[in-house]
Amino acid sequence: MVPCEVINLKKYYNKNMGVEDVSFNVKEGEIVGFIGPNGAGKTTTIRTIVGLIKPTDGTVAILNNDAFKNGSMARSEVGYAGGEPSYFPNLTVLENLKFVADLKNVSYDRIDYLATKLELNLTRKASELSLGNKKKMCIVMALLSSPKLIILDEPTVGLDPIIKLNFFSLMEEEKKRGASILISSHALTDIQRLCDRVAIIKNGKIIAIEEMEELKNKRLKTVTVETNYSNPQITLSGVSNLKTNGNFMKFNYNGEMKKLIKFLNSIDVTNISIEDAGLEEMFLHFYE
Amino acid sequence: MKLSEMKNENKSNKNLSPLYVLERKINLKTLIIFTVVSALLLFLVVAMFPLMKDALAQIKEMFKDNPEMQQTIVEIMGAQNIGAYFVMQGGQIWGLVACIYAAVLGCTLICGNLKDGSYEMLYTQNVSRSQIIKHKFFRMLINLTIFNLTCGLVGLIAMLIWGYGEFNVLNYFVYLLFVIIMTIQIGSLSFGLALLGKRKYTVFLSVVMAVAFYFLATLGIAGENFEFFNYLTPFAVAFNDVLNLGIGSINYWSVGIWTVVPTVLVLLGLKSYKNSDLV
Repeated sequence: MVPCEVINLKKYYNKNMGVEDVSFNVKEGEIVGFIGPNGAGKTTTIRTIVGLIKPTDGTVAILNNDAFKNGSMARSEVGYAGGEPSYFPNLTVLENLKFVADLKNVSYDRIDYLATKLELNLTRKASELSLGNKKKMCIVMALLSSPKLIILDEPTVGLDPIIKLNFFSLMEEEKKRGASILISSHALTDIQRLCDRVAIIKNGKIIAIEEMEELKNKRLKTVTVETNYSNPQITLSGVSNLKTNGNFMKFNYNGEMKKLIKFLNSIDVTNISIEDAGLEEMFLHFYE
Repeated sequence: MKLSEMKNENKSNKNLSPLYVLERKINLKTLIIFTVVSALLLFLVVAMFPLMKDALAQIKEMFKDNPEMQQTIVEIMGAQNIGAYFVMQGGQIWGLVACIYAAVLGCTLICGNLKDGSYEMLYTQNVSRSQIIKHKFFRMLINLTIFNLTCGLVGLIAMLIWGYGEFNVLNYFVYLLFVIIMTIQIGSLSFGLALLGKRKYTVFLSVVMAVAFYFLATLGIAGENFEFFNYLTPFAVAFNDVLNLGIGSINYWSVGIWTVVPTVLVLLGLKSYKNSDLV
């Protein structure tokens, strides 16, 4: 059974497109990164998965339950933390967490454990917390019931580096336990560090789903060139993320090497460097 | 005490009691404020009855040559006896505060989560939307009943102090019952509108609705020609002279209409709320 399966999801707000054609899944024990530019449809997709939005068309199934029609069953094994921290502002952190724990029949030990791990102060009123602490509280809520599927939208925003490391270790723990995790984030290094696969969404459509290992092995090169004249023109296909500055230019290249060498021969190169592109640059390549 | 040493009391309760507890916590402050204000005002109004009687004696003396004018003033002030006084003066205050509280509560129970962003956390838990709505509705019923029972008890104590033997206690409880029904009708109306309108329905609109009902009811008692207005507002029951005339003074058509309308609205609202986007 696939914990989360999205098939041909469409969501329109009247005539405005939210997402057009989204299909992907999250397998058991897998961490999937969900990335894309602002307004691409990440949050709409995630909110449809957790049943806040009714799909216009397509299927969203969580543990074989329709996410909207059979929402409470579907969400019984889901932990979710949205992009904007969501909590009861007039209650304390502990009251917020106890509400979720009681609803899901979870022992309060688990609150203790997670709050200690993320250094969360339980006694303060939720509305008085900083963004980072609100995020931590929401992450704790999502992980509280040790769910089979964890969905996190921009979880690391506002977290300091130490807490971020603790968060990564929690994610690894959850993965070892067998949980499936979907993480949406603009922090590409976090995605690179955590995820097994990555789904890339652009203009409401999934444009690529890549295994992280495969992505790492892709032959995307970062080329830095210095020439004798300023603003050299590039007439080469397979170039992306081009940046020029006077005599310098830097770009990513995923075409044939012969063509690149031929092109470099045609311009007056004084210095050159060709390296394997980092994952962040690869992601940016998809964003463009 | 460490959290691990605390008992998780709700495990056996099919997971639903946390919803009751949550709504109780969130709405407790408003309940206390409205109840204390209303009960205090009610007590003070009844406490002023002896002063009213003295003032009335002076007014009667002033208009001793004009018995018709005397009668009109007595009726306007509701000063024939403590029962009429309670309905005309206390009933207005209690009824109006109850009406506003019911409308505000009906609105905030639904729209409060949408406004403060907590809806995303609440509606992504392992409970269905209809279960959450059901719990919110029951919380409304409980809070309105607590509010009215407290006000009713304080009013009764005041009535017994300043008008012992001058009114029928059984009729007082009938009056209390119909005030509870009225507030539930108005609360349900507001609740249904909140379910249908979501973010478009605000506390301001709910208060406007409550005050409009009050004014329609005051028009309804302005004279025989205006009786039609009694059918346009559930508030009319607050002005019925139940304390003197007994249960026969209740306009059951009005009560019936204002039971059916909110019920239909809540059912329509529930259907719409269950099947729409919450974002």
